[in-house]
Amino acid sequence: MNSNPEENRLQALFGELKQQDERMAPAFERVLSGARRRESQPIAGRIGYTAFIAAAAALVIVVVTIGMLSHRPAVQPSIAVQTPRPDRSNVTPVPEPAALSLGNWQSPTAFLLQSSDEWGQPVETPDDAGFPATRPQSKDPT
Amino acid sequence: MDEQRLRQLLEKHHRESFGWALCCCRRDRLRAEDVLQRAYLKVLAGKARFDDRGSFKTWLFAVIRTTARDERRREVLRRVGFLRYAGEARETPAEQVAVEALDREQLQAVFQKALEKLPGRQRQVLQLVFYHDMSLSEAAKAMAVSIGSARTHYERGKKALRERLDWKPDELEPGRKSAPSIVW
Repeated sequence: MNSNPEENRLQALFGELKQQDERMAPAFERVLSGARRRESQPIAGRIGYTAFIAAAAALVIVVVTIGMLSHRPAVQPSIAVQTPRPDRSNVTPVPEPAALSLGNWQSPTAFLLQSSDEWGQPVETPDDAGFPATRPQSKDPT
Repeated sequence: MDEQRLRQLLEKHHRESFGWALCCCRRDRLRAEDVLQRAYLKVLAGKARFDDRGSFKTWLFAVIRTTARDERRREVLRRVGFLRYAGEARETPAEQVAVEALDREQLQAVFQKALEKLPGRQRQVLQLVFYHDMSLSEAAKAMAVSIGSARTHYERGKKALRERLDWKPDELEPGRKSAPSIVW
């Protein structure tokens, strides 16, 4: 007997449960004859379970096979066609792009800084309208 | 071992075997009987062989446990697609009812319910120790687990039962006659 009161109580409850179970236990002969009957029966019941497993396995195999076939890459010809290799001796080498240097760099808005003289045309103002493009030479007061 | 001897041993342990089968089948009497038939068939047909090492009872209990487990799997396969436990009541804190001063019969019923709610391993180890008077190492053999694992399940099972049955330290003192209050 356990000295632990909790275990003693559990022991008592389990003991009572055991008595209850023993009262409703089927006779040994009945269980044994049931087992014998089961033994003499055809294996239909067992086949059901086995058949389910076999069918499931077959299904998995079929699905995997179909999956593999559908994702298979296009068949390559077994004999490779011999194509002549291009003669690379005549090929002119592609020039390398010019290296960018900091000195050559220009701002995208650099043209806004250019003066009209640089454009080579005089700038027309409203006052100049109707006058010849070339201004008369101012008279020398001297 | 010849069949006659096997039969004698089965008969000797029959009542306890039924109790163990009930435990492995969550107290379903019909299923327990079915499991017992299958287990006896395995033993008598030589599909499960006792090698005379250790106790026959421990070995037989291991056979019954594996048979019950196989039967449970078979049952799941049979019911694929069906919500077998759909209607099973779930315990929620709101449903917990304090029951005071239960009589012996009620206490036993509540105890059985509490036992049913335990995880399988915990329920089994407690049953093997308290019901079948096995040591923890024998229980571990019957359950096919290590003794450390059996001890863990044993302690957890006891704790869970204590909580479910709401045993207070003063109620566990010897000499106390009233039944414990049970929170359910």
